[in-house]
Parts: sequence; C-alpha cells; structure tokens
Amino acid sequence: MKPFEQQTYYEILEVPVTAPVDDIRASYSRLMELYAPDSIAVYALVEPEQVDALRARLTEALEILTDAELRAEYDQELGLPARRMVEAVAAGGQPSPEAPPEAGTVAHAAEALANAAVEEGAASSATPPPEQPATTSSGPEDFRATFFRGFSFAYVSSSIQDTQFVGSAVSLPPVASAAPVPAEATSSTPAPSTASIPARPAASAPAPAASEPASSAQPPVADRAESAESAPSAPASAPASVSAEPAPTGTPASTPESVSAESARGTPASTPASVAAEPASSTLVSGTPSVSAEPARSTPSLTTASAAAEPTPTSTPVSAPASVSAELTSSTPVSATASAAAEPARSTPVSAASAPIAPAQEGPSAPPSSTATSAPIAPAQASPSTSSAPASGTVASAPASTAVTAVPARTEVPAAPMPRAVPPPLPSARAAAARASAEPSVPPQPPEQARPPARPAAGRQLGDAQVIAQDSAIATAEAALAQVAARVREPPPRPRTPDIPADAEFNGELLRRVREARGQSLQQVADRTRISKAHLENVEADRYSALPAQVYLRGILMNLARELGLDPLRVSRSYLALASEKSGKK
Amino acid sequence: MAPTASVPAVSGPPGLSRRPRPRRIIAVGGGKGGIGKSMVSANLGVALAQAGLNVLLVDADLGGANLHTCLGVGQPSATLSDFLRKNKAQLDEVIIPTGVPRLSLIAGAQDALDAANLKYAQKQKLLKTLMGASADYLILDLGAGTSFNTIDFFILADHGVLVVLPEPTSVENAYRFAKAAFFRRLQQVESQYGIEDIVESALTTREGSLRTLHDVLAQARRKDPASAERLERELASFRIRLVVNQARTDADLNVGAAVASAWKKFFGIEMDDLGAIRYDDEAWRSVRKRRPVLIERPDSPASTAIQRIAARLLALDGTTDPSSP
Repeated sequence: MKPFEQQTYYEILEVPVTAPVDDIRASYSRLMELYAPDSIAVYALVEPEQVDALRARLTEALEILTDAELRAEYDQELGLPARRMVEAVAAGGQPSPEAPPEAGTVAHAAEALANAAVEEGAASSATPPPEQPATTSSGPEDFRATFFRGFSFAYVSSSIQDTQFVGSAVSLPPVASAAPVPAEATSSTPAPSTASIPARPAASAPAPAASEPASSAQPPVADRAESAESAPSAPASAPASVSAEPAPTGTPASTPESVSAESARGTPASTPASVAAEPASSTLVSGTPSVSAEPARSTPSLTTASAAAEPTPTSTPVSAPASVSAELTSSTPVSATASAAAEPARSTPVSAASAPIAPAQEGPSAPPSSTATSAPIAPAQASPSTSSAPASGTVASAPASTAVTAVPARTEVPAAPMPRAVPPPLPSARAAAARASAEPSVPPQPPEQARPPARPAAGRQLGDAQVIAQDSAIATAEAALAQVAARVREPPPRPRTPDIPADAEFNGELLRRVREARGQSLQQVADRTRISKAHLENVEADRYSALPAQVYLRGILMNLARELGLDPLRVSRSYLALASEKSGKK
Repeated sequence: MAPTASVPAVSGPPGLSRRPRPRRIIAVGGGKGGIGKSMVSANLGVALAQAGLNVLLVDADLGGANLHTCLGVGQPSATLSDFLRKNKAQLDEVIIPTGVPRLSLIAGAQDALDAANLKYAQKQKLLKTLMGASADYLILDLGAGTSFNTIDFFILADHGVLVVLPEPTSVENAYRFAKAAFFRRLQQVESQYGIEDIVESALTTREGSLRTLHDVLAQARRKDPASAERLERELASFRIRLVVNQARTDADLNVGAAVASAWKKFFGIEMDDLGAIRYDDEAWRSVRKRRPVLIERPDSPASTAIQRIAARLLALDGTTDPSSP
C-alpha cells in the first residue's frame, strides 16, 4: 500500500516493466481519461489538487518511459537490467566484498531505528510524509528522486514490481557496500541485522558507470572498524549508501536537500538498514546522495559520500556528529552529503573510509572547485562534469545510549552554481534541514578544514582526514552536543502558562487568565473538554451559586485544569475551597 | 427446503470455527438510497439459492425494510423487531420462507417507531446471533447512510458488496461509505495496535493531515513499524466488492473498474469489481410485480448480470462445486 507519489513510473502507469511503448501509451490514455477532472470515478474521492498531481505524474511517467534513452536510464536506476548492471559494475573494477543481506527486514529495522531516534528530523527523512506533493521539478531530478523514493519503499511494500526490484538488487552483490559484517564480527556483536543495503544504490550506480563515465556516483562507503583499508576498496561509482551499524539510538542522518530531497529520504531508509543495535560498538552513518547533474544530457548522477565512524569498544559516550549543511552560494541548495559519526578518541576509520571516496569521485570529474566538502569527515562529492555541488551534510551520530545528538554546522560551500535550476527545497526537506541547522552557533570551521583534504584529487590522505575529524569536528560537535541533546529531549513546547505563585488561589479570574494566556477561547475549551460553555463562564466568573453541585463541579474543574495544563487536584481543591467559603458566607 | 448443509470447520476466522456460522456473509451496502441494494440482495440471494446453496437473507435496513416486497413475500408474520424485542427469542422463530427453494428471509422491522435506532446491546445481540446462523450464505441488505448500525454490519461481512450507480451522487456516497467502513474498522482494532490517538485525530480533524489511510498508516508506522505492517494487512484483508447498477451506456459498464482503480491509486486498498448490471426495464417491471427479476425474467440482461456476479462471488470463495442437496 503506497501512495501514488511513491510509485514507480511503471506502477503509476499500471504496466509491467517490460511493457512496449504502445502499451504504455494506451495505458496512459486510459488513465488520463479515468483521472480526468470530470471523471465520475474520482468525483469526491480526493481533493482536486491530488488528481492534478496524479495527472502530472502520469504525464511525466509517459515522457520518461516513451523516450528510449530516458527509459533505459530509468530502468537502470530501478535496477531492472540486473545482469547488465552487475557486469557493468564488475567491469568498472569495483570489488565489493559482500552480499547484501535480506533487504526487507533490514529496511524495517532501519525505519524503526530512524523513527525511534529522531522523531522528526530523521523521521521525515526516513519516512516521507505521504502528503508530500509530487515533486514539481521536472526532468531528471525528479525522475531520479522518484526513483529513490520508489525504491526505498520497495523494501517496505511488496508489490510485484517491487519484489522484482528487490530481487535484482539483491542479486547484485558486487556493488554491495562493504563491511559491516566483518566489523561486527570483530567486535563480536551478536546483533544479526547489520548490513548495508547496497541494493538500491547499487542499482543506480551502474547507470552512470555504464552509460556515462562522467557522472559517476556514490561509492558506498564501507565502514570497517579496524581496517582502514576497506575504504580504498570502495567502488568508485557505486552509489551511496553506506551502512555500518548505528548505535541503537543512533540516528542515521542524512541530509536531503532540495534536488534530491526524496532521494535523500530514500537513503536513510536503506541505510540505517544495517541496524544492529550495538551501543558500544559502532555507529554508522548514512550517506546521502547528492546530486550532481550533467548538464549536457541532463543525466543525473548521484554522488554521495558517507562516512562512518566506529567508536571504540571502550565506549566513549560521545560520538560526534557533525553536520554540515552547505549552501551553494548560488543559493541553490543542492544535495547533501555526508554524515559521520565519529568517536572522538579514534575516528580514524571514519575518515579513512570517507577519504578514499573523495578521490574516487573526483577522479573523473574535473573541477575541484565545484566540490563542496561537507562535514569534518570529509566525505566529498565531486560533480562530474561542470555541474553542481553537494551541499549539506548532516552528521548524526548516536551516542552510546542516549538520544540523538547531531551537531550540525553550517558552512558555505563555494560551489559552482548549478547550471540547471534547482527546485527549491521541498517541504519535507525542511525538517532535516532544520535539524541540520539546529546549531547555527557552531562555527563553520570543521568544514573549512575539511575542505582542503577533499579537494586535491587522488592523493588525499587518510591521516589528514583523521586529524580533521578529531580536532575540529569533534571538538565543535561536542560543545554543541549537550544543547542539541537537551533540545531533543525537551518535550514539545507547550503553550505558555503564566507564572503562578505556589500559593495562588485558583479562582475564576486566574483560570481565565491562564486560558487567555494560552490563547484558547472559551468555545475551544468547551469543545475540547466537553464542558458546556455556560459552566465554564460561570466558573470563570466565580458565580458559585450558578454552578452545579460540588461533585460535578470538581469534575469540571479537574478537566478544565487538565486542559489548561494545570495541576487538576490543586485547582479543584483551591477552587472548591473558595466556593464553599463564599457561598457559606452568603 | 433442503436440510442445512453442515458447516465446515474451516470457515470463518480462527476461534469462531467451532460454532456454527454462515460460511460466508455478504453485506450489500452503498451509502446512497434508491440504488438497488435491496434488488441486488434479493436477486443475489435467489441466484445463490439456485446455485444450490442455503441462503438466508436478512433485511438489515432497519428503518426502511422492504426486502420482503422485493421477494413478493407480503407482510411478514415475524420480523427482526420480534426477535429484538423478546428476550429469549431464537433466530429461527423469525425466519420465514420465501417460496424460492433454499432461500429464507428475516424481514426487517415493520412498525416499531424506533426500529431504526438499534440500541447498542440489541445490535450486539443481533450481530452475535447472525454470526451463529447456519446457512451457506448470509446476505445482509443494509440501509442507506453511514450510520454505525449500517457500517458495523458491513465490516462484519466477508464480502462487502458496494452498490453504486454510474452517477456522481452515488459514487460520492459510495466513497464516503467505504472510507467510513475502513475508519470504523480502524476504530475497532485501534486498541489492539495502540493507535487510538492516531485514529482519534484522523476522525476528528476536519481538514487535518490524517484523512487517508495512508496517513494513518504512516503515522502508525512511525510509532511501531511491525504492528503497522499487521494493521496494513488486516485492513487489506477486508475487501470491498463493487457492483455497478443501472448501467445505461457501455462507458457505464466500466465505472466499477474505474472506481476500483482510482480507489486503489489514492488509498492503496484493493476493491474488486464484480461487474455491472445493465439498466433493465424488466428489472423495474419485476419490482412492480413484486417478484425477483431472476425468477420473473431469468433471461433478461439484469438477470444474467446478477448470475454472473453470483458466480464471481462463488469463485472468490472457491465454492465451485456447491454441495447441492
């Protein structure tokens, strides 16, 4: 069961993935007729805007699927020609050690994790709000974005097509991102569910690899606890998501950003996948795809980097998250990248993991200037040809056993402006962005420092990254950590209640003031408490004689107090005392 | 009348299998009035009975009972209100024959002023008793509207047959009815899944964000993915079957498929299109004659359509070879 916004183009057109163009066109016209504004079948079913959105998406699907080239690309991103992809990837020389574990459970675990950890931020990135309007952008971005969306959801739901995708994805071991398993093994974690889900990313990776050298994308970063060398092995063109083992409370952070808001969202779902809850032993992060576009052909390429850190078994409580959200100077937020969770003491692996990526990506692409590096961890992103820059990265990490702390830093990344217009950030991206920027006070240094390492191409060394990660990222992160954590723990802000002295007597006047301070009208309170408005008025006016018998009045007062966020017992006791006193005197 | 077929142990949900229970319950609803619910119920009953199954028709249109008229039974000697009014009444006492072999009827309440306003306890009693009725098929002819009395019967059924006419008023009401049914279902299982608050807000927010099942499920998933999964399966297990009545044009014949498709697209829940019944003067004439069209004019388009629908229901239930007496 998934909303049409999350369906693949094939699903939305209700055709099999093998459908010939004629069938697709036929199906399209049938559906356009069915969802015509005057169609009886959609009358009163949903809002007209939703129907319009559906029609827009249908048209978009038709455009992509009836263009042979675009369709081939889309198929590849979906992971349809699995065989071919495997070959492509293999040819691309990407060794990847390991086969993806079963996707479904992982995805669920991931989702659970994400949900639990970050109620809003992560949740919004992991589970897109269904009402998310279909992306308004056109062309490749959208198409890519939807692909991600569709894909990530494929794990969750099981339509035939999805299964197919999953199947193909799973059959792509080569692309799998490395290592969580070994890591786990060494750390002797019993947790069964590690594993990265390479599937989705893998699926899309080959696309660029095969057809477009220029745009190569995300290397899955393998996070290996002890051995830094797993990093180099990261396939250069594998897309993105890395997974290690997030601590149970960890937030896989990902930063979605405008262009690929959905893709980002998609990622977390699969990334956290490798959730093994092992507090002490490791934290991983997720990669966020960032999109760099290839202007000429408008082929999207996805780049991502993600870094994962592995806290030492000695359990340092803090894992430092750093998040950077970079904004392109052109004010186009592009995509985001990078999350890292670093363990202060020993963040080497992290940077080790991420460092190689940067070179890998940059290799093919020319302009170093357009690379934005985000995050202390220096997951880097390169834009393939002339295009875009990655933008923001969020790092979230989970401290061993607590809430999530993310210390985002904001950075300006000098980036080559996107040649293409980038749609404004989608609403859903906002939450994540908000979280990322939750700590604006954090100085932008980490990124500053991080950037240099990323820029020079292949030679980038692990050592540097390590230093960076340790010194800057963590330091700043730590500083802000407490605040953020506190904020996370804080209950949602309640309407302000005026200060009430401890010995205050709750007469009608005070109750009225409290109510007004909370901005509630009598009618609203009456509606919510189901106390009649007349009673409420009498209570507030202290018309004791007009009030019902004490036993009823107590109930009224308790409910009212509860509604106003006051202590029901105290209010009722105080008010009843006043009432009996006054009426006694009378 | 044929002896009641023994009820197979496999029927019904686990836990209920030991009690006698209708093998299948079909509820015929539709939201709007005057769309042929009673006509469909009566004729479906006839079709199933003619297929060799024991069918019990229940007129659950409490305020506007007229199923007996559709069947030409005349003023029934005993009705549902007799059953409800008496403390220790047996369902058997109010079952009356219809003249069609294997088809019997429980007529709706006739005269009682408050017949339509079933008390909660009465409703529970009726639901429980009906669940215990022994027949191959129990067909509930529901009233118009989306009152809980109606919807509770609807969601109790194995087949929720939704009758729609190919016109906006009916389609609108049908959607509303279907939504109400699913939310009512949610309400019934909410405590089981710990989603009371979500359902509550879904039901109370007028323009809020939680208006579709997708929204509710997404929220539930955020809370507890595992149980949301189960909930999703549970919701999906309740299937609504569409019957388009009074189709006048060829395009009308496809309205059922279109509605099912649109519903699935936006709500993610499958509906089955059982087929359309052509607008047929014979059907109308039969009502005038107070005879089921299937008996009066077995070859008319309406009759064949209903037979096709009955066959499809039987196929869905896997009753390809009914145990005929």
